[in-house]
Amino acid sequence: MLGVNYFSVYRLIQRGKLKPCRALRGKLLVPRTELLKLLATE
Amino acid sequence: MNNPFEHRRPTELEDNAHAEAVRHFADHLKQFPASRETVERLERDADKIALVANRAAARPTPKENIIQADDGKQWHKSVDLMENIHFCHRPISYGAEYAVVEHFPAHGTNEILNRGWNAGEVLKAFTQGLRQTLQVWTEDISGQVREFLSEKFPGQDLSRVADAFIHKCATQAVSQKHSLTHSHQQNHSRGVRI
Repeated sequence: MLGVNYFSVYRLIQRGKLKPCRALRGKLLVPRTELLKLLATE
Repeated sequence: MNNPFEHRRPTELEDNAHAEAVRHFADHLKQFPASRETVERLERDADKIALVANRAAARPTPKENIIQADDGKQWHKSVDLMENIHFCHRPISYGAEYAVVEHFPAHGTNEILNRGWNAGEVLKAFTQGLRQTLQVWTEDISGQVREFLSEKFPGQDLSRVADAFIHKCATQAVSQKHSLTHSHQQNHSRGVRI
């Protein structure tokens, strides 16, 4: 997805750097805008 | 979570569904145990790491191990915790301040993740954050597996399969191939700089 491993992505979510929306059954969905925002700031 | 198939054998459908899920989420299944093991290692070694950091704080630091973090202050790397994540100290007039600092190679920045006056407490806060990350990961993969199974096998109750998959993630040992790679990375990244 971002060229990094899952742990790094979930760490970003846990630290609030990447804000997902919670979809059906608790699955996390990261909006494209969130990814672009992160890529622009990181 | 216990293995739901411990006391009752899976049906043929459950067996097939489990195999499909394992195939589809192979990357998660490979990476989760390795990450879990990293967290467990840090929790296990926390006292040793704190001791090394305390000792390092009492000695001069080689110039190449001094970094500037996003707070504008200079920090001295004492222990590599994970790839690009370092345990650091900063001399102050009455002792030392400690921090976990993450380096972002793409931008050359160093972000402080946790900081405090007690090395053990700073490490504990960091590992607690990692534990929470594993929890977020577990909940997400659980949701993903349930969705995958309901789409692949509509109308079937495969909740035991989803639970068995999560159990496998949480308890499976790191695969041999991955373990070798991981251990090589650890040898490289766990070097203690004093």
